[in-house]
Amino acid sequence: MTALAESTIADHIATIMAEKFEIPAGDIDITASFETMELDSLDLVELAVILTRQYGIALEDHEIVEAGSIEKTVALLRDKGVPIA
Amino acid sequence: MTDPRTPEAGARPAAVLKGLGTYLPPRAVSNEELSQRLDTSDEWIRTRTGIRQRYWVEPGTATGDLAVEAGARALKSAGVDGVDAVVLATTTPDHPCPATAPWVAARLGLGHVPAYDVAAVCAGFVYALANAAGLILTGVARRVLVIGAETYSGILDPTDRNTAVIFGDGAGAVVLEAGRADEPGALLGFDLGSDGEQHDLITIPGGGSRQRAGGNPFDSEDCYFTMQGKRVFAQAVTRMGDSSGALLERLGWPSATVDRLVGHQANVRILHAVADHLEIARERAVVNLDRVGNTSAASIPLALADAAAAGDLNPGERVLLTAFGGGLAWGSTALVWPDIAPN
Repeated sequence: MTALAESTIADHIATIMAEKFEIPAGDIDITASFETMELDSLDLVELAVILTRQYGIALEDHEIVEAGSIEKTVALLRDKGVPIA
Repeated sequence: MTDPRTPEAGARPAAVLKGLGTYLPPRAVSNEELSQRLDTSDEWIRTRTGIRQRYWVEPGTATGDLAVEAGARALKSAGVDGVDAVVLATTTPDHPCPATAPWVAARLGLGHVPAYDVAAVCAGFVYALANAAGLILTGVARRVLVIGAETYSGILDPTDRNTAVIFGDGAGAVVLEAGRADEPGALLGFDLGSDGEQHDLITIPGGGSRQRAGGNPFDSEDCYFTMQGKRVFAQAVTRMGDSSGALLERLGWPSATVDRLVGHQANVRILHAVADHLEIARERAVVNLDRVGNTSAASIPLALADAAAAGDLNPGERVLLTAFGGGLAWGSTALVWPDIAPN
């Protein structure tokens, strides 16, 4: 698998936030906490399911909760072996 | 089972849906009512689950009573007064022993037909459909009454806001008849699965042989229904999505050709996530849990009846049914909606 740019993954997560969780584009900030962006716990469960499918890794919602932001979720994916440049 | 891609598929035998009946107990329980005794709110329940109200039985009414009502209505819908077998899906049988179905069959005046329960929790109705289709395809029965009936109100911990607000009571039933795969209403295939490694995600811990084998004294609190909500949410989305996808692939139905997705009514956010996964427009997902809650094995027939009554389910439309529940157990089936009069 070709390594993906960090920004590509962050953009992908931002798109999920906007399209599935209907977070206004202006409120999406890759360094902001999920709490600030008003995502609830079930949103993060769904995000874990989507990322698990997309990147073929085992990922649970509590790990995303601990990561706490889009930026740190990208780092978490890298730690789990997703090839990120 | 049948594969509609083969040239002779039309002539193949199949179990065909001929009638649909439902019954809800009269007492509606609002979110506001529950908020008065639990640390929750209408807003929290609605945003987390999509549920506005559910129906609960009054004291004196058991699962079998609801099953009889729905069963009678399904027989009337199909225009028949007899069947060759009764299969009843429930998590809340009238007794640990015997099964509820024989009593229901007797109350319906169906004679000494084979009658038994199927236990697959919220996936129970799809499992019961598969079971009944098997009876038909093996020649054991020509016509089967399939019922999903539940009284979860009796197994909910009234102090557990994570479950007490979600579940409702109710019953739904269909009549299946021997027919051909090219007829509207034919059940065109099944995808079923389970994962017992995760049996503890949805469970009633006590009251069974595992508790007795452990030598633990009986504690009535162990007989409440428990659910690990977030893990169940993730599994429900994954399993219903994958099972539906596998079935559509086998049937050769591109997801864009599915007119109605009728998923187990657990949570509107799960239903939308499954639709997203399958690339089926969310508007095509039938949702009636807002007014009935999660009725477990009864949820699919109740959703079908509501959609038909609202004009959202019309003859000739492609319908995908998918369910997920404790076990874990999941399953999917599909049909072209027949011209029937739900009752």
